[in-house]
Amino acid sequence: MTDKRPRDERISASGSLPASFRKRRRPVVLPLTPLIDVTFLLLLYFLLTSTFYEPEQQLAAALPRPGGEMSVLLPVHVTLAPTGAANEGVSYRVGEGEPTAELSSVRAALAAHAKVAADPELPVIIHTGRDVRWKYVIEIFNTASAAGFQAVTFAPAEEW
Amino acid sequence: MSKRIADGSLHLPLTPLIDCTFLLIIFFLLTAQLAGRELPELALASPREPSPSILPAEDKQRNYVTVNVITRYDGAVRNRDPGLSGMASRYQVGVDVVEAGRPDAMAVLTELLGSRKSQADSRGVTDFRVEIRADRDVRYGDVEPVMRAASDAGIEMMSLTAKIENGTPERELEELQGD
Repeated sequence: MTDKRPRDERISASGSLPASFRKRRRPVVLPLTPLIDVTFLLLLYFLLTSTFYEPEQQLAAALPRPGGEMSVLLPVHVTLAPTGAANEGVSYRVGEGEPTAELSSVRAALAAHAKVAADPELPVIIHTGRDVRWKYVIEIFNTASAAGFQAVTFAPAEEW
Repeated sequence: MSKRIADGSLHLPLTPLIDCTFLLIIFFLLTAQLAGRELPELALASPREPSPSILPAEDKQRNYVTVNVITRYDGAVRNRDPGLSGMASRYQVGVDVVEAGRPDAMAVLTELLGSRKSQADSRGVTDFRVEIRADRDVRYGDVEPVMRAASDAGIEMMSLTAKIENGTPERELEELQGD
């Protein structure tokens, strides 16, 4: 049988709330703010400190072997000499040609040699001055390889 | 996951969750630093055109030892002093560092490369090579001894690390090889 009396009257009659009113459920509050604070701090830290990986390539080459076997083909000699007050520049020379600072001239000269020889095994020997910057050596190696030469080797560093 | 405590409120056990998160962060921080130590930041040479000598990506990660040739500018890319940037300060093989100024630097380098070569030989590796990862501004006179040391250690092949813009499209390589 249900108690049809108003709520105030029910409280005054029993002296306390009925069981259904006494156990009021508290709202669940998760402390998310500090969690998100820390997460954003970490995110910011990683964004600021990380460096993105830049892909690197590798150019395959044979190591120079002192006293190694000689090719029967006459090699193409490419000479690199340093230029500039702090050796920051370079001068290229293919065979007995004129020295040049233009890589396009070297590319053309090497392409001409490759066309005449018609043999990818024709050796190209890169003679480099001790003070020439590495970037020029890589550039000339890559150019010779792009011109079709497969046997590109390095001579010991030379003093100029 | 969640549980009720005595007063009936719902409680999420966040402490173990945060413990695990921090453990993971520490793990990733430490391993990232270890991986980075073997490949120091260098300004690499960047040739202007692709060539057939570029190793395919699948061959890059096999059977090799990397020698880093580090300039005195140590990673700085801009505003370099042209005189100082030409000088190598140290060579790094894996995590082993050899100061370039040491009188026996080449002997130590040869020994290090020799031990790597022996390890590779004992595993039956036949195509072992040395990767020369040199700063673009270092003098050839400081890189060439690495080639000599590798040659003295019995290594026959090498690869030269460079950064070529946008990699090498397969089509361009085929065209170059077909010419």
